Amino acid sequence: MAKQEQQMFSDSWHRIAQERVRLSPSVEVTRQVFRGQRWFLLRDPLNNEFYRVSPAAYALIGRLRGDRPLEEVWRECLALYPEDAPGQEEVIQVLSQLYKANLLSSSFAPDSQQLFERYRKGWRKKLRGQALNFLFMQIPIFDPNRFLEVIRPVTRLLFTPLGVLLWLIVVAWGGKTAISNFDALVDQSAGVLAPSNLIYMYLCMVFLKLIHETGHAVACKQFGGEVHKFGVMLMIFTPLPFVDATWSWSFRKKWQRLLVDGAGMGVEFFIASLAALLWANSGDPFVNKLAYNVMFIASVSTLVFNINPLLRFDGYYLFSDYFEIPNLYQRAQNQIRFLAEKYLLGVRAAFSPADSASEAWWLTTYGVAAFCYRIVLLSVITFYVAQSFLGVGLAIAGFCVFMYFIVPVGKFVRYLFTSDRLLRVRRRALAVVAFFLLIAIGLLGYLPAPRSLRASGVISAEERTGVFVNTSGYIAEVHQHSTKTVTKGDLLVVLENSELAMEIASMKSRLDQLRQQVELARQQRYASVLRPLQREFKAAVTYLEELKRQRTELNVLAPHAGIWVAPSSREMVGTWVPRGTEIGQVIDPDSYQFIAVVNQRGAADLFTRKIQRSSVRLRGQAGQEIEVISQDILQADLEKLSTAALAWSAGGDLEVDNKDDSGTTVKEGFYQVTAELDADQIAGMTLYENASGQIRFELQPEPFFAQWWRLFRQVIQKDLNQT
Amino acid sequence: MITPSQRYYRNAARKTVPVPEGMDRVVLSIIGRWRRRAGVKRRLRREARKVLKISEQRFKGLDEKELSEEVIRLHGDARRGSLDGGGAREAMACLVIICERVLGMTPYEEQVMGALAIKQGLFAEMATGEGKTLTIALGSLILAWSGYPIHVITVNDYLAERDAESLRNFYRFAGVEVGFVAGKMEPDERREAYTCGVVYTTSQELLADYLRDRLKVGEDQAPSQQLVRQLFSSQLGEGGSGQVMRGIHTVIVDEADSVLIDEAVTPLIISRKHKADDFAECCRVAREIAMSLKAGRDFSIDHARNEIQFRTSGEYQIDRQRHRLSPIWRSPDRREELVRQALVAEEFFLRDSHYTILEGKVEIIDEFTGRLMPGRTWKQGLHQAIEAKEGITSTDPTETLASMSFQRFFRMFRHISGVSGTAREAAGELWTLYRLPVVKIPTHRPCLRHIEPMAVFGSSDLKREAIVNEIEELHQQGRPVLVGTRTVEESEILAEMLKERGVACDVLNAVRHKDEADVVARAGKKGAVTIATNMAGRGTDVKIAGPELEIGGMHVILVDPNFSGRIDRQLMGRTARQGDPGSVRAYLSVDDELITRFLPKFMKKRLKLASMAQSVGYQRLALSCIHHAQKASDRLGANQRKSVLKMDTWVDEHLSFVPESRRM
Repeated sequence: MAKQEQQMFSDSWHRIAQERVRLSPSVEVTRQVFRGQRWFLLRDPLNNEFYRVSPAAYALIGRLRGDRPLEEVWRECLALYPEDAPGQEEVIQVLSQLYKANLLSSSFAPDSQQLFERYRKGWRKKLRGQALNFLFMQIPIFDPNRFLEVIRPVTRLLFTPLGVLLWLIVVAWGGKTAISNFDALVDQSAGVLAPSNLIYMYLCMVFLKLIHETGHAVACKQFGGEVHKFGVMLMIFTPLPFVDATWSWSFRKKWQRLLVDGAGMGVEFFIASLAALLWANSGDPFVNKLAYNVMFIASVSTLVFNINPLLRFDGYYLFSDYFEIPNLYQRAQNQIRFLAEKYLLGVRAAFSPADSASEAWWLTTYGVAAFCYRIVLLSVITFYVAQSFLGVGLAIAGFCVFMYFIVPVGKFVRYLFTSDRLLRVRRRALAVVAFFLLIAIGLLGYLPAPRSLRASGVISAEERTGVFVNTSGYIAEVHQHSTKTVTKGDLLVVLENSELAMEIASMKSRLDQLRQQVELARQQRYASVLRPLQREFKAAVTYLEELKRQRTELNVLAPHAGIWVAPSSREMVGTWVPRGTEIGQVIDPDSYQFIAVVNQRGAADLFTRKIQRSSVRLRGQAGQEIEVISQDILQADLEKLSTAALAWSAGGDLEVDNKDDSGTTVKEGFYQVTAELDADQIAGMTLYENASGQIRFELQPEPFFAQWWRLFRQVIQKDLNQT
Repeated sequence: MITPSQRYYRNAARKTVPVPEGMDRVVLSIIGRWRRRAGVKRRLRREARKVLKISEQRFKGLDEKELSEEVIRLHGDARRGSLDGGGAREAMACLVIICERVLGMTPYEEQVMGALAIKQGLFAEMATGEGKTLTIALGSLILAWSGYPIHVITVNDYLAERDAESLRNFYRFAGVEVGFVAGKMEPDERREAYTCGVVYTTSQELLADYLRDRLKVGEDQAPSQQLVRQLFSSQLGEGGSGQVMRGIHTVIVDEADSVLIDEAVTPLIISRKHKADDFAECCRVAREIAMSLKAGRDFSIDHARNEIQFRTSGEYQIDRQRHRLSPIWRSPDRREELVRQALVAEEFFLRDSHYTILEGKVEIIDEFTGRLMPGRTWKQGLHQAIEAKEGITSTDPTETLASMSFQRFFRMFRHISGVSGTAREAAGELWTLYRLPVVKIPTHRPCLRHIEPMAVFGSSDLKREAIVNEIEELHQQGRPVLVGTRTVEESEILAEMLKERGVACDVLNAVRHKDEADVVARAGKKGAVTIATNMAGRGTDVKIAGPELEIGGMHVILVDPNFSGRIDRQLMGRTARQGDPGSVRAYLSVDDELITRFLPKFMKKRLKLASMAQSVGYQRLALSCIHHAQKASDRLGANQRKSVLKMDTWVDEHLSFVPESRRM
């Protein structure tokens, strides 16, 4: 391992040689073992500052008691451990860092002006740190230590075998309930992100995180630590509770540190299991909803945030403590920097922060992963902020871009041109960076990249025949239920109309009467009477025919072969259907189309760029990609959706105006795309009218820069339109 | 007995203002440009004219007694702090007349401008030979009347003594005592000198005295703490006994660019001898190990940056021999550090160029002034490595007690002003570091210096031959010649060559400097040839009398270009002073150190070809080469100064657990 070169002698040694410094009286020392190596952790409980030193450095620091000048102590160490004792430069470095962490005190009367200055400086630095980290700002509110002390007799029960058993039982039972109701769980997930649910979700989240943080605090307390900070963290402007359980870092045993790290999630799982039981067994819709939210947050937030070691939440600390790599994030960054400096820029004096080869491997892997993840995450956050908080959001997003992208790049440029580390290799460093920059610009700016646009839509058949009732009547019998394939002439529904039957009967008797009257008139040769009677008879015959025809129409038949779709077929028996009502449709399965809605931004793309290929995937059958043969974009700005299935609430892209009950009036104009699907492909599939899915248009490839620029312009345009 | 307030001021120093970074620095440099604008000069000229008018009208007619009474009145005004605007004008006018009476010289308008600039805390750029000494006297007197301790910094002891002595009567008439502090003085003499209102000394002496005083302060370093302690303790005399200075308040720096810029790089170190340990022995072993290594195979040498880097085979070799070192030095970093130091001593530090051996001791030669710096050592490790190289058994290793960079020291003064003939190149740095705006004072009479075309040669031998030829020719004409060399070695070679030709010459360098004053006095005489290192470059005033002026005045030869253009210009400024005639010729050879160290390869090649062919325009090429190389060297110097500043900030940041006053 390349180590930092530290010279034995320092030009500044005389400045401190005669000082009688010592560790602050309150400093506590813990011995910890990381990856088989001993370390000493110095911590001041009064201000919760930490510093980790090697045994060689501790040999010196431990001897500092303020009674002897530093020079004397150092000479003594040198005599005792000639090869390991730190050199002058290293001593200065360690002492300076200890002083900065407020762990060092001096025996002379302190210069009070300097003390105040130091305090002011520390305060300012803290403030600046908060301002820079404004997306994760922490505001301490009170000191929970006393409270935790009071509830200690209760909370310590959790760490008894009984407590563990209880936890296991509840979590297992809750887990089992959740798994056995998995389908229902998934079904309900669609509505969880709907705007109306967000407030409940947030309340549940606060409740859950409160418990989560209390879990950390209680665990920390259990093993003898103290917790002095409880407050609110503004995570992307969302207030959430937090506690400061950093005391646990000084625990000597690894499993204790791990338990404190994991306690939050443990408690969260416990609550989520209770919620699962409640959810499965409660009929009350409100309780059901709350319980579902709790479960949802506990599982999703754990998977996405807490357990993820790349974010600096619980997973990170678990990871770092489990693999015994303290200060993982910072050191991984240093390791990446070391690799880049050494192998790319050619800095010979670069040194690795790793203590062993395996640690170097971990640091490198973690560093690369965290770097990529960070880039993605920051981009997403910036983008999200820009889109969600109108107007002001743009300013904040601008600030994010400045903080997360421009400042680091600026720092890097300054480092490239002015850093002393690059003194001997600046030319090479500049050349390497220029090389990569050119490659990146070339790739992003000139290499056309595939580009696609997605839009939600539904399946709809082009050829469909409404099945109408031609004669009013009560539905007596449903021969074929919905979704059945029928052939032409198949009996679908039988209606009953007693009035019609009676009319036919009375018409028949009237016909009999007329026939006799005609006979009578013919015999008596009442020519003047005969003609009108004959006419009347003829009319009556026609009318009867008509009534009979109507009677046959009480049997509703399939107009052509296809699929009989009558969504309410099971409930229709006994209902009165007036003439002219459509009771269902027969659909030609070969004529299924996909109708998608595209918002104005997307449409602009579709009109300007050539569509190379497009395909459709349906929900529930996402594995099957259906080729689109041709598509038609309806250019007129529509405002009404053809079906509510395309709206946001049903998983579509478009926000629907809440004032309209039908849920089909859209807030923003849109375009409709009708896509003709590949007949061969859909022949083998079972498709349903209004089944939702997504269409993906593959547009003409375009370099990334151009794509990003368009996206940026669209976001800004949208913002400006809305404000 | 001294009063508590005197004691307070003795140890109170201004907190150094940090040099801003980034955007702040840009803003600061814009302010600096504004402060250097031409309007400042015009204002000074108007002021100076008014001063001369007042002196003519009000003071000219006064007799000696009346003048003394005026001095007492103005002195009193100054102590009460009411010497602003009109008061200052009156005071300056009075001083002009005193100067005329006592020294028999009437200050020019330009000198009054310079004095006013000093009063206002500006940096007056006055051409060489314009009478800076008198300007400083005028400026320091008006400041001294306020009662604060005034320090005038000169380049060397000789000049400090010369100026203080020659101006003593002038100062005395104005009611101010003048003293000087030189290297050889004992503490008591120093204390005596520091009680004077104006003290002439060198920056080294001043800083060394300041640091020694600080070491004597004792436990409570903060002046307010001391004051409180003294007020509450019955014994007033205790603490700080043995201090020699009155405190630091105002400093006027002559040749300020040299003092504030060039020499500010190396920090001044106060050290004491301490008992020998085995470190010297380790250095000797390290040298043996180093000598067993081969350049190129085991290590590589970076000449531009004076650095050694080991290759793998070198690291292996050192590892194999590590048992020869004492246990402390066996770990990989430390053993390589030690051997590297030995190689640095071997490769980059040359005897008689960077140091010389006097009475069995390594004495450092100042690269800029060419003078010896007795008692100075390089940093721990390097000095021992050089001793090991020269086979000197270092009897008394030294231990640093205090050190401070000149940069930091001069920033601690409440009032700083400077005078120099060459400041243009450093104006930006003078402003950002010391907040000194440069103002260019015009020359009194047009300059009659004739600069002859540069002579360029392919090798040093050819160049020396030509130089000696020229000297011989001029010597026969009877014109005095001053030959400026960069190194002691070069001066000795030329002296030897002249001796062979039978031309008598004086040599002034780090080794031969005993009779400096006599040599300088002789240098202007008919047919005098004086070979001097840069030590003759600054402040030396070679007086040239009538007959020599008629045949063209003194001729200055620049043997090789210096690392900074300012030093070249200083050397040229030795002749054609105050409107006298004089001539200068610069020589250049392709293997001069400036060229080999700072010129890119392709330019070196072009220069060589051009010098061999003596082609048309090679003069311009040579000039631009020198300019280019000097700029590169200046950049390196600026980087070094930046790192000194960085070191100071580093100390402030990292050693903050040591009270500020003890962080020296």
